[in-house]
Amino acid sequence: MLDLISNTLNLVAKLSNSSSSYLFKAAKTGFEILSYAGNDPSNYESLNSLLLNLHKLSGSDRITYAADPIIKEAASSLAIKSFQISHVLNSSEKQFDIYLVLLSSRSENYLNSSSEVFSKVIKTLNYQVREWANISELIEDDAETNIIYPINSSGENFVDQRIFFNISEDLFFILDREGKISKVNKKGAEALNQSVGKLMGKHFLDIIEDSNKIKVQELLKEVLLSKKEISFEVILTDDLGEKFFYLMTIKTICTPDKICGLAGAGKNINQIKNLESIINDLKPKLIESERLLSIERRRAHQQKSLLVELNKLKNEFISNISHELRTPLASIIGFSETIESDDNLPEDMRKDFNRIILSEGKRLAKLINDVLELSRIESGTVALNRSNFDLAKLIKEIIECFKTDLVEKSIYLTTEFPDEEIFLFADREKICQVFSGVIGNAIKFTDKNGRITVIVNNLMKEAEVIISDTGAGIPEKDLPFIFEKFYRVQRKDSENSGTGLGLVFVKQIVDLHKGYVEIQSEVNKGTSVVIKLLTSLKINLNSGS
Amino acid sequence: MEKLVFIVDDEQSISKLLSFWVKDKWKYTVEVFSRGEDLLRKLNSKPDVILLDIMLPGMDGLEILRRVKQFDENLPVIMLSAQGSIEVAVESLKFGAYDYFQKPIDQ
Repeated sequence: MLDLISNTLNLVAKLSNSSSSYLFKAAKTGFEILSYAGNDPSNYESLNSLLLNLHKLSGSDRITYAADPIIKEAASSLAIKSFQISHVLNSSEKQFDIYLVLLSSRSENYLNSSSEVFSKVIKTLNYQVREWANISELIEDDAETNIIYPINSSGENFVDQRIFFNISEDLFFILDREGKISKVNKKGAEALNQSVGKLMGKHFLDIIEDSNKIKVQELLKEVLLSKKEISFEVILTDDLGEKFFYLMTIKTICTPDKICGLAGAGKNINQIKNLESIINDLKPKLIESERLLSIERRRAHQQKSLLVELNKLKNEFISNISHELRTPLASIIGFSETIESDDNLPEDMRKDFNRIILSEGKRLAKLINDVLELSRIESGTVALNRSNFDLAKLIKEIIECFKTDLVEKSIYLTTEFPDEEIFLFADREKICQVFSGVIGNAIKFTDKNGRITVIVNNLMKEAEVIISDTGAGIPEKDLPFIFEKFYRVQRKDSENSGTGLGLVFVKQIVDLHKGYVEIQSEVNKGTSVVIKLLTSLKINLNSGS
Repeated sequence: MEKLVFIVDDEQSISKLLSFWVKDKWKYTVEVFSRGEDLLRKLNSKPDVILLDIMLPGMDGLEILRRVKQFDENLPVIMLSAQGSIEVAVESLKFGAYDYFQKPIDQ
């Protein structure tokens, strides 16, 4: 059997261009060369110490080999620049290991070592050694077979790519055909709070979090069926149940005729997941903020529209007021100049002009007072000087004041008052202004021999006052605007037109008292003004006085 | 032949003042209107000059002016207004008014 092995070893040496090849057996009890091919080693002592140390360091990476002083010394005395070491047999049963060591005097010698023929020969060697050792274990593809270890660390050409696996914290692993972990990188295992030893042999599904197991099982099946690379997110877990989010990529490892296992790479995405969950937590807040923002924006927009509208109203008001002031002023100045300029003006004309000047002057004065009063009411600075008073008594007094006008125009005024007193808790002076205004209007717009009716009703919670006349009435088209500033109903007899503020006052004062005012009218038939005001509950307190 | 002047103003005192000067002083024939629409109906009587207030009930002075100009482009119209805004004056002249006076009118 050893002859066969020796032949094969010769073949290996030739194929790999090594200067010498050794099969050596390392056991606890001793160390011996089983077979060798190629040059006869010139220095057995160095060779032994080299092989012994290679055995000691077996499984280490190339840096450890290269840095080992004994290997360095032995290699230099043997004129060896690079070597390849393969683990041919590991038998726990027989308690020894057998290594294949190829030595070369050049740094890059093993040109054929990766060829198919070479790996077949290696397999044969492997098989023969097992036969010799009487071990019927399965022959495995050994990934380490083709790895070259340069002794001088300057051999950049021979960088072992596995170094990346040992510096990366990403997880790299190989699953065997049963789905058990057969290889895993150290740092990758450590990132899962595990050691390589603990993970080896574990089923892949055992490190998957329960909720993900079915999904992963399906995905593994898919990979095996499609032989395609598949990526997925998965939650891994350690023995204590700590969770790790990984982005996995899994691919089959195939020979031309069969699938040998799966290779996988996983990237820890805990941080991304944490950020995702933070983002998800923030989303509702963002939506909320956006909603608030849009509400604020709308509010600001409305406020802007309101300000624009107010500004427009202000400009209109200024334009109106200047027009209203200029009109009587135009008469006053015009007629004064006329009188002044003409000494021969007939006396009746002079008198007429003087009358106009006086009346326009009064109109101007009233206008200015009204505007000031209105601006005070509108600015909200007017405080109501409330007191308890009898509304019926107040209205009777107002009618008394208009007696002369009524007689002058022969207007017949009738009244209907309730038997009892109706008390209001209100600003008496302002309420007086309201009813004086309305009754005054009724007289003003009612022709001679017309009729005016004033009715006061006690509706318990409210007092209702109706002032009806048989006067000129208000055209339907004007009715919607009669409470607007400076709006005047055009009369044939334009002397009857006032400042356009009278009804504005009525409405403002009634509103200030939380009352109600309504006007119904028909041209040439008459007008009815209905005003409702809240009555006072303290009737008895003051009724005696 | 006596010249005919139309005066349009809804303020009675103003039209009285204008008519005093135009009729009593300058001896023109005067017709007074308080609404522009009434003036438009009388355009066929061929006035020589129209004194037209701008702020009028119903159709306003500028609209009346436009229609007068449609009727007779060469008919001189003098606009009167108590409104202080320069825009109205500019608008009036753009519409073909002969002149624009602001009330109170300087002698």
